[in-house]
Amino acid sequence: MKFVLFSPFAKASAIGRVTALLVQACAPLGHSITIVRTEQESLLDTPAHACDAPVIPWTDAAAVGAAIKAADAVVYQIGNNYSYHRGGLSWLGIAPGIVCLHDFLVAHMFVEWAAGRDAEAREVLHEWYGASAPTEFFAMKDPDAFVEMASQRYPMTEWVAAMALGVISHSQWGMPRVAQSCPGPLRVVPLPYDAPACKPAAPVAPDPQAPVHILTVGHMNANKRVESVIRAIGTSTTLRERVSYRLCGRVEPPTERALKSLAESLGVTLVVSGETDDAALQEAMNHADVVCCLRWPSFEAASATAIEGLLYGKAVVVTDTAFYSELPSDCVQKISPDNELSELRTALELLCNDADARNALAARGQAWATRTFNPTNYMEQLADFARRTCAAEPLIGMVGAMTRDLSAWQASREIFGDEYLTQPLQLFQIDN
Amino acid sequence: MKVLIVNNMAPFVSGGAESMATHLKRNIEIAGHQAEILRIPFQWEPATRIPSQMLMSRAFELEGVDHVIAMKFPAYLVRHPRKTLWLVHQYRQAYDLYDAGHTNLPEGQLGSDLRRVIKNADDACFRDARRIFAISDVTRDRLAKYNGFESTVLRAPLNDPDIFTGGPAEGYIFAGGRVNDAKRQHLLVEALAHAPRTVRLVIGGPPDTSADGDKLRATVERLGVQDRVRLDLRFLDRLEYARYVNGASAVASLPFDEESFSYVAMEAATAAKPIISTSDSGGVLGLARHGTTGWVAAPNAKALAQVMADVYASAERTRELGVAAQACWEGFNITWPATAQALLS
Repeated sequence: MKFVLFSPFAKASAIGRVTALLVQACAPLGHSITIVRTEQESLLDTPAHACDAPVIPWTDAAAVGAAIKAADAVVYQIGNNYSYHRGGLSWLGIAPGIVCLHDFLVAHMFVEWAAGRDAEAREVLHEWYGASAPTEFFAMKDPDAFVEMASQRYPMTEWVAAMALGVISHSQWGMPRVAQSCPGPLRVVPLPYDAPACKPAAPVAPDPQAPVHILTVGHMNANKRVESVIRAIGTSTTLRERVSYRLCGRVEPPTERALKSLAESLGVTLVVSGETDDAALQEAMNHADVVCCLRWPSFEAASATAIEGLLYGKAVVVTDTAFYSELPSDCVQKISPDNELSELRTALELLCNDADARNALAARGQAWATRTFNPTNYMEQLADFARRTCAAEPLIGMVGAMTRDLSAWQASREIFGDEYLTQPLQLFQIDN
Repeated sequence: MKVLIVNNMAPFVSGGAESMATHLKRNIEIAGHQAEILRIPFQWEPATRIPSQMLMSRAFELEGVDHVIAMKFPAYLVRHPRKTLWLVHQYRQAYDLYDAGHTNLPEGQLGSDLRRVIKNADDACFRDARRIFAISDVTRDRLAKYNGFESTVLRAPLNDPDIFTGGPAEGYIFAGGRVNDAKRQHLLVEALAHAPRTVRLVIGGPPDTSADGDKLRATVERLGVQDRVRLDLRFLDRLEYARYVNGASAVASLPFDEESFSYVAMEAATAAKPIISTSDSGGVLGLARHGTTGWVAAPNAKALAQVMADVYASAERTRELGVAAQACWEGFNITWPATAQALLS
């Protein structure tokens, strides 16, 4: 099959890395991919992942149109970042296709999209969430409160999913909202990822007194729970004495100051590496004993960092929520968000004191992740899904035509939901 | 030209509109075109089914059709770029019958919602139509009143005028056609109980439902008029039916607010029979004019009983009214070739 794949492709983009992996996987399967880069204009020239596929910018309408015309399937990588997905959103309305949904909360992207199209944005909010939604959504200015509100009531997942002919995502937990809004097929497929430069674990007997290296990767937002990790280490004599905690990723100066101050006050060894290049990140992964991948709240359909930690053969600690809850319990260490500090301290002490248990957990996780987060599997599933979506398109068109008629006639919600309308249509129900 | 006539269908129920469609097809073919009839089933009970029936009509893809002539709700919602409406029926229970309290739409918000959906769909359909003809003044006026659309009255011609030859009166009043509450044959039976014993009544035609037939039979029993009424409740072939009309002293047609002249009245007039109707019978009153072509009574048993008595009071007068009814009908000069030509224009 010939795919057109809309995706951010900057080196800094984890989704871009997924796209590059799919390009590698597609040729042996007899498929081909044309990539349409979707970053906002100012980012389109940033260094991209290496790949063999043709890459065209979303702004080249003629080239994109020609690619779509020649393709068997159009696929959009969509996540909660407008600067990365601007082109995808723009084309999704013009040439509907399969959406690979990377986040079950896309409210931040929606806010940026809404700038300059206030009336349209308010109509979208009203349509999906009711009359009071537009005012409440746009009135919220505090970032943390906004996340809380949006995740509970206005995730905007429906807005994106409704534009798709079918949705692939990477975990189950957010799919009910997708199912309410996307008329086409749905599928959950594990996110493909890799562990470049992964070194095999050293076959030496563990030193019971050796330092333990804990790593957290990513943009150091409050939801990464770095402060909780520092407190867990700092309130345990064992951990305080043996652990070195490293942060790799963007961290704003005030956050960095606060974290360092907290670590110092608790006697925790904290290394803030900041943003690093790929080689440094790979080195950090190889060097780590434990990867802390806590999230609260969590909105991702999958966490590239958690998958990467597993693929690198590290003991991975996660919050027992959302995507992370769906990971096998014998492959990661799960922490309840309701008892975070206590459970985290206990878990880290165990992983620190029992190297055998730590290594066994890591080995199980690595074996499972290698089988699961597999680009070839993803590409096979994507091709199969594209065929199903193609077959479903006439049905979606039919339902769309009926819906347009009913809307034009100003049918109430009660009429839309009446059994005499919905029951006969179940004949065409798409099995997911 | 390939012409598709689109009409509703209630399985095994056939009335005036079905007959109109059949004769229109034949006359379009006579005019040198190809014609077919598409009948779309319509179930309106319970009323919450109506939107799905409307959508069904919208879902048809009519390829290879040059021109559509659509007649009834919701079949007339069918999509085609060249669609002419020959309006027999809107869904009256959302319009005048709703206002009169004779509706199957549920009470409350749901009923209002359904009514709005029907009206909005109608409005869009009328807006897109190439031309709109109405089968009667009543239909035209209703369309103007409720939907704000102008239309041209194009009455349905009689399909087989040659069999309504008239003939000597055999001393009965005939009420023909489909039997149901709206056609009010039961009112004639009730009137008979108040009329002189010389009055004879024949009711001939198929009940819409077995309950309609049972109700009529029960009314006859209850009022004890079995010896003066004949119930021939079945589908009559056209010659049988014409024999009843041709032998009648007068013909009764008293539907509630009928759209058109009604076939019963047109056939009576063709056969030079005077017409009995009621003041709320709508389009029938275009032919039934009190004291000119027949009698128009208030819609109650006693008033009708008086009219029945008048039929028998003077055979000569009754005959004169019948001749006047025939002249009135012929004055309209309603023919199939002219009708087909108008609908294709």
